[in-house]
Amino acid sequence: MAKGDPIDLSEEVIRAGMYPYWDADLKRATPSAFTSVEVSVSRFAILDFAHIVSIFKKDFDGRVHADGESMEIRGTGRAPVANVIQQAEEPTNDKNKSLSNVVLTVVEDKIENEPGATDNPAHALICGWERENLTQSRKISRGLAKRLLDVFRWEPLPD
Amino acid sequence: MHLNLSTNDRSQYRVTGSFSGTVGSSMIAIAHLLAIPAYAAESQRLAPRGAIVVGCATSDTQQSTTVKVGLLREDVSTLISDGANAAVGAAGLKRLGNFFRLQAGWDGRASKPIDLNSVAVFSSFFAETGLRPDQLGVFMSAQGNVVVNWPDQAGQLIELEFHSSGVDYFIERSGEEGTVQRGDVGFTKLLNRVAEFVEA
Repeated sequence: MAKGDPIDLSEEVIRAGMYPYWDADLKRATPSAFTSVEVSVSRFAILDFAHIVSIFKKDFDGRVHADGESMEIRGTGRAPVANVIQQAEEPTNDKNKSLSNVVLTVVEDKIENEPGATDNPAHALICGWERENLTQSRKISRGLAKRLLDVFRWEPLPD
Repeated sequence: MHLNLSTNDRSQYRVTGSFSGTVGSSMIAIAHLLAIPAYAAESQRLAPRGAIVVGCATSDTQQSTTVKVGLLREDVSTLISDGANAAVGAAGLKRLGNFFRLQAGWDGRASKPIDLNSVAVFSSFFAETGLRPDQLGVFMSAQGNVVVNWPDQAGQLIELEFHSSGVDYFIERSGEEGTVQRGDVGFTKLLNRVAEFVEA
């Protein structure tokens, strides 16, 4: 499988819940964790949970100033690829029956020998595309991002 | 308070190829008629394979890093308006201060450090509108923008993302989302949209 290849719908992926996305006191996250053009996830078909989390920690712990408080991964969310893609194919809400103008794909994107990044053979991307022009990347809308947030069901990392 | 500081973030995109499939509007229309997961399979098949975004990690310039560190030493609460201070509270201020410590790449290749223009718009918005939502949470997007959200009376989310030119808003109950421009007119328009979702 090469970069950009679609991932099988039966696979499950995991998203890292970084400190800026999750308020532990309020027990609330932000949909903006999913509002980029590309959203990083990792595949359980390639690596297990412990291995993926160890990569997350290794990769992100070095991204803060030495005198900063801990910014490491605070939780994870996981979802089947089919459920991720499906979120863009349902009406925006009960009142508005139109579909989101974004189509989602989940594609292979293993990280190898990239400066400043830990190798992650399980890395993949959720990508947003313009519904009427599938060659044009598009930022995931906030409404769709909220659905993704709900589907991934963020949970704190076990101690 | 007026801030007009730029982090001068840089983005670099490389397109390694073009979409290889045949994508016509009829194909899209047919795809819409297919049920999930059949549609999902089609969507995955149609995935553009050549367009890969790489090297998007952005960083502060040395100057902006110096500015941010200086601001942090002075205490973030001095950077934002009294209105914003009151809206986010001590816990929100602490989170905001921690965001200042994050460097480019904090959430993968394209994630950016905090944008001071976003902080300025956030500060102005709460100063000018006097909005005080209960249970306001403070977050940051991968674009380095300050994000706040709160639950409405029904527990559904209202979210605002502040960026250099305005505010993106999302009202989960109605599915409404959009952008208002920075300034009095835009802020008033946004306040009118979200005020009903703030508990008195």
